[in-house]
Amino acid sequence: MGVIKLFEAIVQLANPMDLLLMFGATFLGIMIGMLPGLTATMGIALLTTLSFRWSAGNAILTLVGIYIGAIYGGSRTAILLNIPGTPANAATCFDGYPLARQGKGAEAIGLATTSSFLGSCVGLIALAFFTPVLGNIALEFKSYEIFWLAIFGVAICGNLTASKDHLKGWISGILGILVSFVGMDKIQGYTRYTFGMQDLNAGFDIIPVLVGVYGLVEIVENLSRQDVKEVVDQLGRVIPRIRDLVSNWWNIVRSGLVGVVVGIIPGVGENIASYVAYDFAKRGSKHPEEFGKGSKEGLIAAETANNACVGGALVPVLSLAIPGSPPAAVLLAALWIHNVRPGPLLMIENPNYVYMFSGMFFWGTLAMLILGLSIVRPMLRILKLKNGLLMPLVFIFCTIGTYAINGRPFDLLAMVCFGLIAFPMRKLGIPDAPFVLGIILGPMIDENLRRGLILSNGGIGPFFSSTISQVLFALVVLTLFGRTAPFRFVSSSIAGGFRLARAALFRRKG
Amino acid sequence: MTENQLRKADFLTGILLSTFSILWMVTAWFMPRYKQGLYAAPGFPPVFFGAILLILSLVLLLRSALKGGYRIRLRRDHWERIKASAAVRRFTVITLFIAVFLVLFGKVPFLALSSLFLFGSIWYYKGAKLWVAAVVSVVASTTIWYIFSVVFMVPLP
Repeated sequence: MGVIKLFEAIVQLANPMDLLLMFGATFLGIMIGMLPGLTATMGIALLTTLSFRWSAGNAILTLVGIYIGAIYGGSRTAILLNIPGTPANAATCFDGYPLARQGKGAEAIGLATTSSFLGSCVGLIALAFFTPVLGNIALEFKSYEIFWLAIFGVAICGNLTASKDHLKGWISGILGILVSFVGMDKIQGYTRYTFGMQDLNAGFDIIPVLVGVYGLVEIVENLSRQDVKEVVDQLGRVIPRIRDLVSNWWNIVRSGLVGVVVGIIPGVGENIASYVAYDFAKRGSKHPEEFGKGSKEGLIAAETANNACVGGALVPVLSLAIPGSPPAAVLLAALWIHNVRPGPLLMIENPNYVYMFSGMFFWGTLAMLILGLSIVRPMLRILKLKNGLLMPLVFIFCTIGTYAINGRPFDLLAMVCFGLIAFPMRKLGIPDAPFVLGIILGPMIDENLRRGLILSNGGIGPFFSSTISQVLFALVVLTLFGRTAPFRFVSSSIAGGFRLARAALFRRKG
Repeated sequence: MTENQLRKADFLTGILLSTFSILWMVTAWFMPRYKQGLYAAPGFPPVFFGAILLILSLVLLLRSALKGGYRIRLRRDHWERIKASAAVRRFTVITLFIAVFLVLFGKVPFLALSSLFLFGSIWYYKGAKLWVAAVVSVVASTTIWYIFSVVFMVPLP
């Protein structure tokens, strides 16, 4: 029944006007995603104001296209310049950029596009068919579970990005969490570490942090070097090989599911989805040593998960009116502006709207694939530009992207400060990704830790009482201590015990 | 960085981070406390995570000290090498360009400032011929200004 309704919605939207609008919006989304500093959230917010007077159908169609396009578009600069276009593409840099440096830029973009498409398809299935069911799962996550999830995010990111020296990864993550405490706290409204500076009252916006840590450092590093830019011929095909996709089928499915589940959880966005999926891919890979050096598996995992997360994040928007990620929050506001009332009553009042929305999502996904694969070759010319020409232009984009968020010069100062922190960090082998993730997740950790403790009158028991908390806690312990000698001894003993028991069992049967 | 240099750098980083975490915790300790209890105080999470950072940075410090990272000596030839380095010169110039751009941002119209920044940096870093640098800087600045200021209605200085 649901399949037929979805098909009907797709056919209904297959008219020249809607398709033109969707392709235009997705293209604009890709461009917004590609520019460092401009995010999906900002793109949707800007277009919400521009499409204010449009009909609800056209406006929502445009915003869905922008969302899908922007999350995908950020992979371009991540692969070509090592600067993630949006926070969702930070994990794409790990393997996308090394692939481009090996002369496989076209292949990397092709793989990222196809993975994003497949991820979006997983998100579409979740959105269309599991919205009422999956929405309820999100409600199981309370303060305790969200706290552990955020801690898990920082811990695995620390492990992943500092595979040789986890200690530096964790230091980076904790440092990020500490920096996130700057500004007004969400429980009592007390301003911390502002030292009388009013601009710090709201804390650090994530965009100046991201642009400073990734963009500015890359600009300064590239311009500091003599212009020894490797002229790498980006040979290779754009359309990925079927065998690359088939051999990664489980990686794609797993990353898609991770993206959807992370997307459903309120407030947790695409960036965390891609890190978690990347970690799963690395742990499950036969060649974990290739991760960070141009692994196709890593690239596929990160890009599948962040686009699957888009579909996942829209599930609670439609079913509960709770956004799963920051761009979804802006989209929710846009739905309200256009008199669409998402929430538990949507399935009763307007049962077909979920399918119509999913139909828009389908066309956005298809537009992303077609546009993504057709504008690869022109993009690769970026790699042939001299650093002396490219980097000053990138700096101007970074500045504008940062300034445009709030329109205050303080954000530019913050951008430079974070660049100055990240530059020596990179030289010292301290990864910057956990630092950024710490800043993103810090407020979530702070709020949920204290709210949880207040609710339990200071008791820590509830932090371990639910099954989800226990699983997440176990994952945190496994992430932090899984590779230490005592842990390996215990796990090998258990595995040995199982092997002996199985051998004894078979012998008895025999 | 060589292994030896990294060990010394880790030693200094360990000292810096442990000092930072102690100062962070001390500041948090003096934040107000409310009736709900110590755990509800705004200073509780900074103290908690500051303590974790202190432990981790002490481990880093100890680890590098055990490997001889404390043997740090500054020699005159270090400074001379730094002064003569082309990379340091290029780094200093771009840092200065960025600093000047930020100081003038909001005081000089965006179109003029970005054109000057682009022209200066493309010329210094030999990104293109002089006339190409001039054309690129004017065309790029005008396009960016038009898209953001007119299409997206973002007020630029």
